Amino acid sequence: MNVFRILSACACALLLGACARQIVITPDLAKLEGGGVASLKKTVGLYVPPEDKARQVTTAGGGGDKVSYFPYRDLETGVYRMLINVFEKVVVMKSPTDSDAFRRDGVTLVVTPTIATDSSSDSLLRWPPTSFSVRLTCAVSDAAGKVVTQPTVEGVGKATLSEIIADVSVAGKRASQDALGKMQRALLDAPELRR
Amino acid sequence: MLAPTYTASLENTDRLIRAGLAPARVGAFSAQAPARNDSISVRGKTMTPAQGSYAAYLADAISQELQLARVLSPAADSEISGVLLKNDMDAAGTGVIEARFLVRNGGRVLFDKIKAVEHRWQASYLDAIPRAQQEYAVLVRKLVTDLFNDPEFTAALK
Repeated sequence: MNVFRILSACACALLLGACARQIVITPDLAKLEGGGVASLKKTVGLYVPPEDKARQVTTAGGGGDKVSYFPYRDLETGVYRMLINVFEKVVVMKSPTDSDAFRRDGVTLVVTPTIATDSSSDSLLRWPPTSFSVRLTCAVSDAAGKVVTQPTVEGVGKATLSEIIADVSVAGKRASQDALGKMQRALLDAPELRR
Repeated sequence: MLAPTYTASLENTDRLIRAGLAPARVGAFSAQAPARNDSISVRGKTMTPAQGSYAAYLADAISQELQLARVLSPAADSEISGVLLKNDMDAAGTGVIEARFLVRNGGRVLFDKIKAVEHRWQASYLDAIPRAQQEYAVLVRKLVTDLFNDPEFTAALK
């Protein structure tokens, strides 16, 4: 009987452990500074497809566990905040061909982000990731849909054991922050956007 | 543990920009029992806000939303203030928040309403505490979104 109870407890623990743990990788927007660089005199639209906003991904955590999160939902406000630092005006678009945005708001370029993530942990005992990466691509296209430029950057975030105990999402937040900062520089430096 | 950092939502930003609001400032936010203002306990673990109180957390959330929509101005005539009336959550996956919001301009009260929302999520035994921690920001965003969706609120800020 005791053996049966022990085996049942182990099975329950394995089942619970197999569930992906929810984290949120939204960076602290207050840390997304403009850097005092003059913004580009353009009005851009930000378009995040609804299917991307709803996309939940699962990547590795520590101790054989997994973490789950919504990269687009967590990062879209950060992307908007970053674009405000780069362009004079940023408009949220309902579709990439939102004629209202082009006509009424004067949008000349549309920014569509693509996000790929990965995570890992060097801890065997704690499930939150200690290492995180966010690969961010921003496709900038004109009103005709032609891609003008498409920079890709990779943000990385690391965290110590004591940090992940205080905040299970900290490595992901740092990677997001790093990616947005790098993308801001990439867009400001893109010669195609200065024409 | 600390309450999660609040992040403004794009939907709210877009809504505020399109509403054509005049600049506004965020005034005093206080709390009244039974609202938990200093800390919330989730299965024996205490969650405290970095702002010092949950009333200040709510004020900060509204400031962030207004700032992202570029309508926050400390010198504005319109002032948004509030009183936190309910604020609690549990490890089973339920959070409640209720607040009275006021908009004043030149001594006149243009808006005075109580808003309340409830938020539920699926909590598993193993990650109930960090999950509750994350969901607090969602709970507050629901309340703020409910406020911004009120046409009388946006009319008071024009």
